[in-house]
Amino acid sequence: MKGDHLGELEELILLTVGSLHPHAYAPAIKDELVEKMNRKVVLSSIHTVLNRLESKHFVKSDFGESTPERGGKRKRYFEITPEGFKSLQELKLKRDALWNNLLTLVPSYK
Amino acid sequence: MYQPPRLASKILSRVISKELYEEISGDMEEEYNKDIQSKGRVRAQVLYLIEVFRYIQMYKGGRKYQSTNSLSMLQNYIKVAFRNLLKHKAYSIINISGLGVGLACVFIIFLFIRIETSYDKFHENGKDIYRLQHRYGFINAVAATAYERDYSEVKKSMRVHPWKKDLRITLENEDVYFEDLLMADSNFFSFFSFPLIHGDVKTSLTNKNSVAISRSFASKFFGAEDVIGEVLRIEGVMAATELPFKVSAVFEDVPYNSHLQFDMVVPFELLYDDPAINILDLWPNDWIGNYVQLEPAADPEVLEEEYLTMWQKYWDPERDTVIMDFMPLEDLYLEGYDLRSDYARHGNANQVLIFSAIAVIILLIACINFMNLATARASKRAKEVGVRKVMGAFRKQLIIQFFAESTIMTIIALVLSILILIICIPAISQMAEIDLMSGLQNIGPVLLSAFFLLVITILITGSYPALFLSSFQPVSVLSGKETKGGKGFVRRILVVFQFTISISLIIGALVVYYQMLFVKQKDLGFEPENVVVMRFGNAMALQQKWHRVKSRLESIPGVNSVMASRQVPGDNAFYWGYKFEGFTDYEDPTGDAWLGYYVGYNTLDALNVEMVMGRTFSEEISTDSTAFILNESGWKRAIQLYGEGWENPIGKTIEYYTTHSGDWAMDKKGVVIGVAKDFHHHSLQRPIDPLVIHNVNSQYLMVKVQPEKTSEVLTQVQNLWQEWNVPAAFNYEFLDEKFNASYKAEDRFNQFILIFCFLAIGIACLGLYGLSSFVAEQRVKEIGIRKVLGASEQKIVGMLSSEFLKLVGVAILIATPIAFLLMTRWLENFAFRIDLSWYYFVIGSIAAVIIAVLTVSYHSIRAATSNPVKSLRTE
Repeated sequence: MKGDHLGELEELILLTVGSLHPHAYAPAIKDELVEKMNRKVVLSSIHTVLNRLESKHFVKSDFGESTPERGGKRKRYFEITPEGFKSLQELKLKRDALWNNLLTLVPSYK
Repeated sequence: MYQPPRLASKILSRVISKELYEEISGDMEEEYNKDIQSKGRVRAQVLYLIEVFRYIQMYKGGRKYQSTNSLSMLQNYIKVAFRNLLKHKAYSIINISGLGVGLACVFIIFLFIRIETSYDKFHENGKDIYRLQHRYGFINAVAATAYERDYSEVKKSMRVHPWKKDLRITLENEDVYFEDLLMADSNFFSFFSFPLIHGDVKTSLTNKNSVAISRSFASKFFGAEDVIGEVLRIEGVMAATELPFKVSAVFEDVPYNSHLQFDMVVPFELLYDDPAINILDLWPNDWIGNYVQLEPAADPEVLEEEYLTMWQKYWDPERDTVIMDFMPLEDLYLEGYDLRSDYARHGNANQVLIFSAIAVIILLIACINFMNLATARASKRAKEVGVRKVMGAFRKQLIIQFFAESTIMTIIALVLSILILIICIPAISQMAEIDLMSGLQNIGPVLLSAFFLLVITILITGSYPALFLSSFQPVSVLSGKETKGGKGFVRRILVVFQFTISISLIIGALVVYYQMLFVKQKDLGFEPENVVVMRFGNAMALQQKWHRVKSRLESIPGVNSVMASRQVPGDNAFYWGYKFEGFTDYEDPTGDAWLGYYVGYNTLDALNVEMVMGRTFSEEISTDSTAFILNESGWKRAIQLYGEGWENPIGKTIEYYTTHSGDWAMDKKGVVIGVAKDFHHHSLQRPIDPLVIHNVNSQYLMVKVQPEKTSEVLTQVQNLWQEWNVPAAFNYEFLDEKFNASYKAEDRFNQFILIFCFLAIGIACLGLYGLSSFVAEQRVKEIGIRKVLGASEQKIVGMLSSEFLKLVGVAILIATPIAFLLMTRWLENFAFRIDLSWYYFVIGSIAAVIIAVLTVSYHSIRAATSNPVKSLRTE
């Protein structure tokens, strides 16, 4: 079903949310993506993806303490859920299977 | 900590739902601060803005799929609109031409109104400047100065003496010109805002022998612009002497929209040196234009009241009433038209009002046409609307579609009207003797208002069809049910409204036309034909040479008679004091007084004015130089005022009081020798005044000629002009033309009313024609069935026509009282007017019925004679 499918950006962001645990919020994710993946994603896209992930129950969110550098507005921290972890893991397993095939069939590129 | 751009944040808060706002705005603010540090403020702001737009795109989700589509939908609307235009060619032509002509008319009227309302608006202090006036546009020479001296609310005062006409001007190279001249106080150029090209605003008129001339006069006299210091000699500024004047300033030519027109200005101060004028300090003596500039907070009405105080203080303590009117400078041109006499240019506020009304009416008629035709066509478009709705069109989209259609129509109409304007403006300008192009000055506001006109037109014309057509229920439309109900009713109301206007206009046009005819054919009481009028320099010149001039002219073959006269019919009469025999007091000239009319010995005879009793002036009788003649109205007034002794006025004495000697004093005393039948001594718009006719043979030389010899006589007179060394240029006018000139403007205005009325009626007919064709088309099946069942063609024509005739009938009932009221008001402008009899209304109504029948019958007859098989076989 479409709901369970993870898009490429969705996967990436879900992964980042997990890797930043428990301090994952949109600007941090953005920076992380730049740093680790050298990939620029605009804030609004990240928000969209996060909302979509939340509606698929792959992440859950909570408001943190308000900080002065945000004009007193609270951060919304995202946390990966077991379902999220499971679907990431599934995806990784499927990929690994494919990788294995690739390595066995075309070993010369290794 | 930096705050992101305010407006963008605000937009963001609007766009994003509340629960998401805190997070997102917080995130963005954090981003923004980071960006400022890494990329600088400007780029950070730009990035923030871009981000906001992203959110708008994202969170205005409901719109999202529409907005990608809207451009192609718009293309579709435009395409469909053009297809519709081409498919219904007749309809389009009617609509577009009606609207185009309408817009052109409205724009022309707009230009006219713009010109008329632009007068005297260019003065820097114009809002605080007032002219002092009462019955005339001028008063004594002391009022303005006294106001300035006595009341602190009066900031400045300024006077002009506008009566120096046709003065002989000699240049150093002995070139001679005859020109008009204005005498003004030395603060003239700082009081008003007529810009100087050369010379100093403050000092240009302080020297008594200085003269300021306009740019065009500078080049006319000297062939250059900077002519300061040049000398010209002017005769007649002070009595008949010639004085040298030095050019002290050159001013920009006076714009057309100034009530005061002048090309030369000399100091008013000179009047005080004139030994012949000792009336400068007299209060009851009206001849000088007085202007004051008030403090912005001052109340002119309070100052008006104060005039009596001043009058009592400085002139006559007994005095209990005076009239004083502070006329705002900016209203002077339009509001002052009913003054008895004035030196200023005047327009007519009523004209502006009537033209505005006509413009609104024409635009309204054109718009109603549009709406009527669009709704009449609704039945055809109903299926399209139904299909569009079934395919998922929202009502809003349909409204946009119909607005798009009316926009396209209006734009085409606008292009058409611009073409009409380009062709017509020069012709109309010539006809109206108004340079309409000058209304295009400062094109910006004009274009802006034209744009608004367009928008308003689109809104009016688009609103009804758009709202009405988009309201159809797709089920009822597509299942073939007729969408009747309200629409026929509204359309009928619109037709009635339109016809009410048209009938009122027809009646109005008839009345205007007959009134014009009446004025033209009215017996003037004298014969103005074939009389040549020439200005013979200053008053003395003609009196001195009179006998020589007369005998010489009479010897020319073709000359019937020779007259000399201080006034000619059409001129304003003079108000002075008259003391009638048996009455102890003279009539005050500032009251509603006697008018003096000054004609030469044989003028009344030569103009064929009939005498009721007595005789006219005769050169053989020496006492006739001081004798008087009354006109019939004057005689009646004398009986009324001074008792029955005046039943036989011949031989009774009248004393004539003026200020010519410097004080109120008897100027002359004479006997009444006759009573002349009333003749129109001035324009027919005014009633004939009670006149005391004097014998003054000066200023105008009039020659009654045989019509076939006019040109030969004129060349001979011109030759004599040089021989006599007349101190005025040789110019001549024909008396009838000169007289007609006094109401020529009115006449022209009425012609324009007629033209615009006919256009309005024409546009209304176009609409009716289009409408009837649709009604006939709509009922084509009904007609087919009726014919199959045996209805005769006449019956069907009658049936179709009667529907419209009923509406016309209702319109007649409404229009008659409206037209009656309006035309009664209009006719009140005329002292001599036609009666508003019933047949104007009957003729107007019959004309409307005939127009309706003619326009409708074409389609009814075509519908009635068509073959029913054709219309019935399709379903």
